[in-house]
Amino acid sequence: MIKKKVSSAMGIICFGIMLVYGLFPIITMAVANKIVIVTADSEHLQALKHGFVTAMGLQFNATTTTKSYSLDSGYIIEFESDTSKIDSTLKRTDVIAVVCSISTVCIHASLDKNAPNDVLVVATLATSSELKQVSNLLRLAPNNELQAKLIYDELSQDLGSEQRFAIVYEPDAYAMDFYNMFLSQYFIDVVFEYPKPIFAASIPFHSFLFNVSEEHKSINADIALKTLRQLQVDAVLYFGYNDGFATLTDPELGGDPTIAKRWYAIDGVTMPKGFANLKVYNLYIPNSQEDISQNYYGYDTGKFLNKVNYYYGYDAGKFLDKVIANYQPQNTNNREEFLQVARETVLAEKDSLTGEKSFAMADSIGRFITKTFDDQGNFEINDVTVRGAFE
Amino acid sequence: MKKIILTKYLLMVLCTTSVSALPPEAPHLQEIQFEGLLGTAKWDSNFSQVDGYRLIYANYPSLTNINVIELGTATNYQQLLQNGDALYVAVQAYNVDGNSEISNIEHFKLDRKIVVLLPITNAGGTSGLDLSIKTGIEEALADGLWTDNANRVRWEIIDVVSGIENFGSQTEQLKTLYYGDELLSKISTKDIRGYVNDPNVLAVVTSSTAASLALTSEQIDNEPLIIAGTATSSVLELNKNLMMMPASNKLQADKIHQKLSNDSRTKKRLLKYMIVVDIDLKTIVYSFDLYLSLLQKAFHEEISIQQQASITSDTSKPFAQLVGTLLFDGTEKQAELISNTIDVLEPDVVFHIGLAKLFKMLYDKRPDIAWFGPENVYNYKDYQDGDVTILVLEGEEDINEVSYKNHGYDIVGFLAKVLGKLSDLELNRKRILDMASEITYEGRTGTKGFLEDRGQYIILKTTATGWKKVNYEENE
Repeated sequence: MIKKKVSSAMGIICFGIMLVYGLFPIITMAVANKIVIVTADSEHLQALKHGFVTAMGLQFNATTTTKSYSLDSGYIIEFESDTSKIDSTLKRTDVIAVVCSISTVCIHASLDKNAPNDVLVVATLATSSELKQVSNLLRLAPNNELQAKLIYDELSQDLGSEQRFAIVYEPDAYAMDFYNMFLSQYFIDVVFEYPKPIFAASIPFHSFLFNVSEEHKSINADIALKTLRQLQVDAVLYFGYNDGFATLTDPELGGDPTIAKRWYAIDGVTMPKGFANLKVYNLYIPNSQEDISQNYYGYDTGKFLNKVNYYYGYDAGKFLDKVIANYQPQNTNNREEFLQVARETVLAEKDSLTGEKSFAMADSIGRFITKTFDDQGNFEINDVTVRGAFE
Repeated sequence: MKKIILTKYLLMVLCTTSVSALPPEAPHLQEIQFEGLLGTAKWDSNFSQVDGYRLIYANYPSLTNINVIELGTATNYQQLLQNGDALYVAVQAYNVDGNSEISNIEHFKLDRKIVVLLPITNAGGTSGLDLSIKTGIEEALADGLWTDNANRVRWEIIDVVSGIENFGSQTEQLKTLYYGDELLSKISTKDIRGYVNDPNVLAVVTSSTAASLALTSEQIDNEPLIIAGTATSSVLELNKNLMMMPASNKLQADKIHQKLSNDSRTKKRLLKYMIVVDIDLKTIVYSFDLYLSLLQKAFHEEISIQQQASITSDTSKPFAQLVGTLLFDGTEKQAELISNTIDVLEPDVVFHIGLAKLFKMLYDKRPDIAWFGPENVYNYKDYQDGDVTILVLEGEEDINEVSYKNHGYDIVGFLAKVLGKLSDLELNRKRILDMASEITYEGRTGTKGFLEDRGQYIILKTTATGWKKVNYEENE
């Protein structure tokens, strides 16, 4: 009797083991179907999610705590708001693609040597040139090299070879990389002894850096302004974000735009309080706002930063939608094959809101808008396309 | 004129026995060809009845020591020569009816050489750097490193002096000397050729990044080996015929950053540093190259601190932080500005990249702060009262003056080894370049050759008695 019970129990165990082993390949095949959007929970990143979900043909629900959406094709869209989990997300076996927004997050795909290189990573607004090294990453926004080339060309034209300029940069993954890219452009003119404006100084600006102690914030607006006053330059270039730029240039915050005759700011500065002879470079977005509904989606649809996130989020969604449609067979969800299909997929300009997207053209052409302000804070917009900096 | 005299003289000596029947017509001597030190004379003869030829040669240009070699019916002659040989050469045919007239006369001067082109400036600047290379080369030659090759290849050292009116910048002068001046050649009766067009020039030695850039700025055939004694810029690494003696700026940037980070950890607090970059035309490429390499290090340090803090929540790790970069044009006004900016940014140390004399100028303005300088020529007595740290290339450590002298010394040693592996027939640009690419040489300054790893940088600091090596292990 006992023997029989043991035997029957063994049978159940064996059956269980067989069942687990038998199902294992199916489980393995079925797991890699999640597309994870790794972004913080901020207003503009709500816009990114909105754009992404809309492009996938789904209704975005801003009023609930919805953390995932299911697509008819079997794929699941998941939101991860803790950006420090980017490394663990990249290593999850159930993830077939990751969408990230900015350089400081996306750069983990290249910094972590153990990060798998078969997961498709789509970066919406990350522009760091470091990301060029990652073979599985598609960057939708034009890289810093292209924008640096554009700014350097315009600066050279505006200043000639007699006037002096200084650079203030926020030393994070995005802005410090931009500074490097800008200097590389300048270095070309140094080597070939071409006429160029006079580079006087650069100042890192720490006040608004994340994850650093007060001790590490050596240079604040006060010190930066004092240094700029001494330098008496003709132009200041700002490589950073809104808050830092405002403290340097907004008189209400102690800033002083009269320190230089001309100011230039890169795409991290999206909401400047304009003043005369300020030129701001932004990623291209269409003039039309018809794609963004006026309904409440948890963010102000009128803000530039929200718009740019919506449009690039939308294009990320459209691109992935196209990869899913191109990927056959649908039910195997092999990451390597999925990535291969992504490498061959082209999101045509007519289907995109910010221009054609593909692995092949990511670093060769960039489209930007420049805003030139007058003393009333009004600005004139120009649409500029720039081709490869080192082509 | 001398050719005419020679012709008349030879005719008088050799043609007195001619008979009036049918002696051969004068052969045509081709230009003398060389394979290394092996000279080849070839001639053509349209006359069928020739019993033999004789080759006549004399010293050039003195016309002394006239000799005749009977060659039978051969129509060429080869002779291994010594470097420095200079001869007139002619041939004469003969048959039973008599001698031909003397052929056309060719002459040559075999002057195989290594040319050293050093931009010695009148106004100081890089002069210490170039002079130290020159001193090292002269010392090696005096020590006999070149003895085995003395009869094969000689050294020619040329100081490219700046400040000559209407002769352009020093870099332009260097380029003109090297590549020649096509424009001047067209308007002048003289052929103003550059050293690179002289087949006797087998290899070239120069010094800095700027000089090396000047000598590699144009694409030419049959490029000689160029050895750069003091150049460290990574932009030069693209040139296949240029060998840099010192370790690269990338390695230098690693060492500088390592030192700054080390100091920060030792002090257990943030270490703030400022960089001053010279924009003098002679050094700007070097300065920017090193600055960009340093910036890469600063970039990775900042990002890594921010990322680690995001994971561990430890936001107060000591590290070396760049707090500002200022460009320096060497003027008093700018020096004053830099001094004032130091008071605003309050760095713990200022790192200067560029000319030694500008480093001294800034130091003299602010001897009260800590200074740090890259490889250059430094005299201890100039900085003995200050807090000055410098980098020096391996093999150049000295208690009083650090320079590049031993790099100059090793250039001779390296080239002696290259030539030692080549036969007299292989003394040409291509074989020298090929051999230089294949071998390495152990010299005073470490292992030299076409290597990525070309030695180390050492850190020295001012003490009461002179420069003293900073021992890292103690600080770690």
